[in-house]
Amino acid sequence: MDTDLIAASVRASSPEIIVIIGACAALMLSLWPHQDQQKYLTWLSLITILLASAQTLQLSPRPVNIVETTYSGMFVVDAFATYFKMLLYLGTALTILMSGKFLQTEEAVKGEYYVLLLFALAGTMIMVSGADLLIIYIGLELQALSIYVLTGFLKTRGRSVEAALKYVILGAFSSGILLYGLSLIYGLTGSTQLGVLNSALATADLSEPMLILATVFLLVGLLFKIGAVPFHMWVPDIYEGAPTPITAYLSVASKTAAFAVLLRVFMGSLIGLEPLWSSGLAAIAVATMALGSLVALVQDNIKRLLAYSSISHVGFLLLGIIAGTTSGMSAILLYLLIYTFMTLGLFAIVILLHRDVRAGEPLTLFSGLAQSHAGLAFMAMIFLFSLAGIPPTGGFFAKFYVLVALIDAGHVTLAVIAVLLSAVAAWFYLRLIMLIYIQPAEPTTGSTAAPATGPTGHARAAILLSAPMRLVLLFSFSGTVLSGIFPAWFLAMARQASLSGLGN
Amino acid sequence: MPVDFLPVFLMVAVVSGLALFIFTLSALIRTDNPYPEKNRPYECGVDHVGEASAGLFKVQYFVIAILFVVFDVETMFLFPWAVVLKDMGLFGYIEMFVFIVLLLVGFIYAWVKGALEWEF
Amino acid sequence: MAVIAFYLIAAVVLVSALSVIMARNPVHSVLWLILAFFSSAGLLVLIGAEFLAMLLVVVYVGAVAVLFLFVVMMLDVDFVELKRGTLRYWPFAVLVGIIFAAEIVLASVIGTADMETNFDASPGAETNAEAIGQVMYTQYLLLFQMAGIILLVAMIGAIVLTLRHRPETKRQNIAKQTSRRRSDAYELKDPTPGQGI
Repeated sequence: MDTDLIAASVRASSPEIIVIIGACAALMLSLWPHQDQQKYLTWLSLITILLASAQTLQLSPRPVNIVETTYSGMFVVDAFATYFKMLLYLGTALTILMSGKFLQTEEAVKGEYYVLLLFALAGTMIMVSGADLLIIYIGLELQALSIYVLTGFLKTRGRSVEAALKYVILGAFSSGILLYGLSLIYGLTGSTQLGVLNSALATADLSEPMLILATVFLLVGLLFKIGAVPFHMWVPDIYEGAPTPITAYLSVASKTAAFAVLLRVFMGSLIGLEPLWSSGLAAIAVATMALGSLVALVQDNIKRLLAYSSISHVGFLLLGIIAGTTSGMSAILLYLLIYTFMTLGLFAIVILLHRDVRAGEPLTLFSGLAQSHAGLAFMAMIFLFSLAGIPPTGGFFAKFYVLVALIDAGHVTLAVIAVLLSAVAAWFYLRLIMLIYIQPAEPTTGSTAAPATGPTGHARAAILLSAPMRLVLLFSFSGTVLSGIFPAWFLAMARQASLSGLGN
Repeated sequence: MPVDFLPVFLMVAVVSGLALFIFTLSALIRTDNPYPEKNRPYECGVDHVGEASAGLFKVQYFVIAILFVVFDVETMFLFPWAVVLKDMGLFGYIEMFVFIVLLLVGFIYAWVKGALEWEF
Repeated sequence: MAVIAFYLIAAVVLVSALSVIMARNPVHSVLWLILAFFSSAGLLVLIGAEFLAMLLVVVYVGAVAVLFLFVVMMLDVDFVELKRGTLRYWPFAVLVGIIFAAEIVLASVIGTADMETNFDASPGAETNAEAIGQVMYTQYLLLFQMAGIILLVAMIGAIVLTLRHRPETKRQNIAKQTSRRRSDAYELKDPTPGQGI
C-alpha cells in the first residue's frame, strides 16, 4: 500500500484515533486507585473530546463541497461528517459532565464508565464518517456494544440489568436484520461502498423482489436503531432502566449518529430507490409521531415520558427525509442540534432532582419546583416549551423548517398532520409545566420520608448545583435560547453541512 | 482440490482410529464390574440432589471463557497476516503492532483488575 | 464425489442443528452444536475456503462452545419447563418458517438466474488465507483495526459486568510478598535469663 495514501488515511481519521487513544489512557488511569480518580477521568475525557474537536475542525474541508475519501473509499471527511461529529462531541461532553453527580448518588463510580463512553463516541464518529456499509455497520456495533454495557452499569439494580438484557437481544436482532439487508445489497451490486452503490442502483430494476427485500431490511434495521414505530417497543423500557445520563446519551448521541447514517445512505446513495421507500417511510413517520405523542399522555414516569417524547421527535425528523430536498436535510441537521440542547438540558434537571433508583423517577419529582428552585423551574419550562415547539424557543424553529421543507416538496397533507400531532405532543409538555408551576409538591410516598420543609409541604432535599452541572445547564440553556433568537445563523451552518451530504 | 486435503483426512482417520483402538483394547482387557452405586457421582456418600447446572458455577468461569474467546479471535487475525507479511513489509508489521497493542491494553486492564485471578 | 460429500455433510448439519433445539438436556444441545460447527467447517472445506473452516473450528468449537457450556452450567433454568412453554408459540414459529422458506425459494428462483456458478474462494491467490490477507490488511485496514477495538470493548464490558471482588476473600499480593525483607518479618530480641521479654 502506498505510504502517501496511508498517511492521508491516518490524517483523515485522526479525530477517531485521538478519541481511542484517550479511551485507552482513561482505561489505564481507571486502574490507578486514587480518591480524585473520577475528577481526573472527567478531565481526561473532556480534554480528549476537546482535542478531537479541534482536530476535526482543522480537518474540515474548505470550501465545504470538497469530499475527501480515504481508506480505499471507506472513510469520508466532508462537511456533513464534520457537522455530525461536532454534534456528537457536544452530546458526549455534556453527558460526561452530568454523569459525575449521578454516579456518586448511585455509588457506582467506576473509571470504565468514561472509557466506554469514549469508545461509544468513537463508534458514532466512525458511523457518521463511513462511506461503506461495512464501516457503518462496525461503527454501529462498537457504539452499541459500549452502550449495552453502560445500560447495565448499575449491576446491583434489577431494572438496569433487565434493560441491558433487553437492549442486547433487540440490538442484536436489529443488527442481524441490518446485516441481512447489507449482504443482499452486496449480492445484488457486488459492492458495499456507497459511491459505487449510487451508480449501480441508478439503473436498477425497481420491481426486482430481492432489491425490495434488501431495501426493506436495511431500512428496518436503521429504523430499529432510531426507535421508529413499529420498531419502538424497546425504547421506553431501556430508557427507564438505563442510568439517567446514559438515557440522555441514548436519546441524543446514538440517535444523532443513526440519523446521520440514515441520511447518508437513504438520501445519498440509495436515492435511486426512493420510490421503494418514500411512501412506507411517510406512513412510519406519521405512526411514530402519533404513537409517541398519544402514549406519552398517560405516562407517569419522567424517563418513560421522555422516551415517548423522543419517539415523537423521531417521527418529526423522518418527515425531513420524506421531503427529500436539501432544505429537508438541513432542517433535520438543525433539528438534531436543537434537540441535543433541549433534551440534554431537561435530562440534566431530571438528574438533579433524582434521589436514587429505588425511588424511581415519578412525574411528581417536578411538582412544586417553582416554589423551591425558581431558576431551575424557569429553565425546565424553557426546555419543555422548546420540546413542545412553542415559538420563542429553538424547538419551534426546528419544527418550522422541517414543515417548510415538507410544504416546499409538496407534502401539504403530511405537514398538516404533523402540526396537529405536535399540538397533541405539546399537551404533555404543558402538563409537566403545570406540575412545576401550579401544583404544590405532593408529600413523597414510599420509604424516603424526608421531613416536609416549610408551609408548601414539599419534601425535597436541597439541590446541590455542582460546577459541571451548572456548565451543562448553561450550555443547553443558552443553546436552546440562542437557536430560538438567531435561527438563521444555525440554519446556515446546517445547510452548508447538508450540501456536502447530498453531493455524493 | 479435495486431493490437497488428503493428509488432513488421513490424520483425522488415524486419530479417530487410534482413539477407537485404545477404547476397544481397554474394554477388552480390563476387569469390568459396574453397579449403580459405583457409577453415581461422588457426593461424599450423600444422595445427590438436583441438577449439576443449578447456578452453582461461578461467574468467573464466564470471565475466563470470554477472555479466551477474545484472544482466540485475535489469534485468527494473525494467520492471514503471517501469510502475506512478506509482501506488505514494514507497513504490515506496524499495522499488526497497533492491533496487538490495543489488545495488550485490554490484557493489562484484565490483569491489574484481577480478572485473571481465581477467587475462592 | 464432491456432490455426494456435500449432501452427506449438509445432512449432518441439518440433523445436528435440529437436535440442538430438540435435546432435552442443554448440555447435549451444546454438544450437538459442536457437531454442527464441525460439519459446517466440512462444507467450507468443500468450497475451498479452508481458512474459514479452520476459523470455525478454532473459534466456534474451541472457544465459543466452551463459553456456551459454561453459561449453560451457570444458568439455573429448568429447560424442560421452558420448552413446554415454547410449544404455545407454534403458529408464530410456522409463520417465521414459511417466510424463511419463501425467501430461500425467491432467492434460488429469481436471484441465481444470472449468477456465476464458478465460485472461487481464493481469487488471485494460492490459498484462502492469502486471499483474505491480501485485502484485509490493505483495503480493509480500517475494518481490521476497528475489529481490534471491538474486541477490547468486549473484554472491558465482560469484566465490568461480571467481576465482583468480595472484600472478605484473602488474596495473594505478590509485590508485597517479594518486597518483604527479613527485618519486616521478625526482630531479634536478646532476653536475659530470668527476665522475660
